[in-house]
Amino acid sequence: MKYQKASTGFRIGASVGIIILMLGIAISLSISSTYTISNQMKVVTDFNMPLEKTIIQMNDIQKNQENTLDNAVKFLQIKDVQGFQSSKNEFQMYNNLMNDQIIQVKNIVKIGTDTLPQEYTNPQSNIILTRITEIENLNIEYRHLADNIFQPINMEHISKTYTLSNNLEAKEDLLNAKQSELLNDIESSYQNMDIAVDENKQKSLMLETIIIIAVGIISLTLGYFVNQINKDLAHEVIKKTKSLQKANEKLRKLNILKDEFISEASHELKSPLNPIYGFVELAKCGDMDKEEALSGIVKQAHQIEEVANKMLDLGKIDNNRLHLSVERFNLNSLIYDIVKMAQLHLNENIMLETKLVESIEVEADRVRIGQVIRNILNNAIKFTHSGQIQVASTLNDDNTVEVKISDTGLGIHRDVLPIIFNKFVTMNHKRENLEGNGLGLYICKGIIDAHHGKISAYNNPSGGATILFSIPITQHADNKRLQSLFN
Amino acid sequence: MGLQILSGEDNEFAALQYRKVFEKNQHVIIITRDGEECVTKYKNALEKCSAETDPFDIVLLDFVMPKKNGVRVAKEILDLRPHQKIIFASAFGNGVLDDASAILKDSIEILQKPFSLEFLVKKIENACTFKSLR
Repeated sequence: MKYQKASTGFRIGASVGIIILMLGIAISLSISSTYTISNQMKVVTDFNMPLEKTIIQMNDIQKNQENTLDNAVKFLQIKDVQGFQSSKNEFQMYNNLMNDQIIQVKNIVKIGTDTLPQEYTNPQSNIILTRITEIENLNIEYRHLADNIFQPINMEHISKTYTLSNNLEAKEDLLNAKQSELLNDIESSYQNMDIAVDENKQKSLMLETIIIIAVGIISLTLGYFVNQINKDLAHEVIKKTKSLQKANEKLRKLNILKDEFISEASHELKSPLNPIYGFVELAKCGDMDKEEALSGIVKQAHQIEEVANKMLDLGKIDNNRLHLSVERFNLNSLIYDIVKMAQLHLNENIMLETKLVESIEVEADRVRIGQVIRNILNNAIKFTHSGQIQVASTLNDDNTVEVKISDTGLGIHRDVLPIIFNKFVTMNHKRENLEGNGLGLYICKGIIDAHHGKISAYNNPSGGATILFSIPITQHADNKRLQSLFN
Repeated sequence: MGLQILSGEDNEFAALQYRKVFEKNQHVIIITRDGEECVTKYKNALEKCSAETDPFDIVLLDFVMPKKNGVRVAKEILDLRPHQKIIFASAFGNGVLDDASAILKDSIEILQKPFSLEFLVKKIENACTFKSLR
């Protein structure tokens, strides 16, 4: 039962635990993927925004360089040395700025490659790096061409300016085209990253959906099992309640029997007291001989003792504390003595006879076995108003001796027969002849059980009842050896 | 003149004492040892008496008797003579006696054992005096 309780408790606990665990996993995954996606989106934004900004700045610097070169060519043509020098310095400054921007773009791409997942950066980052390298190279070429313009002013130089300007414009167009391409690449990279983030979002959403569905299915399954467990528990509770109700009813009946027994016991103990007081009263008044009174008092005292002994026997049997004083004796002699004593007070309408086998030596409690025989015989006498009572003994093959007491009396009531050896069964039974404290046969059974024997009762087909008991001829384990000693 | 008493008492010593004490007090007592004998003796006595009078002044019954218990005997006697004075002598406690008195008539008295013989005689004599006054 304890195991079953633990098992049920464990099953419910495990089911609830799994549901909570699964829900926890789903929530954790959801939070984790949301955080990851947000982070990635931030990184993508952090990567693309400055990149785009830097390229735009590069474009502006390129424009400024072009303007500065245009101005320088104009100053060269009008031979304005100061303006030409100023343009040269300005171009140099833009040149430096351009270099810085190129380095910055490279750094941004490098950081992006290191930080972002590969699916976001490859092959976009490589394309961007190729483009920026191309721009860098073109810028170097452009700077070299520009350096030719920023030579000391002389006639030859001026005459070449036109050609140089044309070459520079071609480079500028190429640079602009490359920068546009780079911007397009970045835009494309941004879109690709966006698509990758969306894909990740979808994957995450799909995973969450699968987990939630799985949790739902598991929860439903566990719910079903919990429901089954509940049904089992409810069934168990109903079963236990019925069992408790039965036990309660049994206890109630036992309590009634106990109350009746106490009343009966009190009656049995008090009944002999009245004659005792009577004897004393009569002896005091001189209405009765003192010897006669004393004899009567002793007999009544014995009756009280007998009742008290029954109570004690009951307590001993109920608590398995019935101790036997085992001795070796002749069972037939004991039966003969008891029958002889019974015949002294017997109704003349009853014939009491014995049918005993030769000599049966048994090892048992002589007093207790005598008590059993006397009790069964007294019952037979009580319920046989006229007829025959027979006490028979038999030696069985299984090293047991059987004593059978049969009568031709009223027999045992069919309601009582199956439970005749139970406690209080015959107490105040409807059949008036069965009146008694309901302990005699219960005590008999207790004594026979203590001897490892058997006792039973049945109604005879021709009328009356038979009660028989059997006990081992010895209380020792090695029966055969002992039997051979007896023989 | 002494009282006519019918007693149902299965304890031979108690019966002997009743006989001694009632006869000493000039009363006539018939002792029966079981319920059936008690009813039979009552019926026999009833045949010999007139329709107006009860065969016994008092019927003294034990509560527990072989063959027929005291309550059953009392019922059968009351069926024959509804005004017959009956006294129960019992060693049972109050609970059982109360249950018994509830199913029997109010005119029935119950004496709880143990009691003295002198008390019993006085009780029966008083009961009969009271009955005759009524």
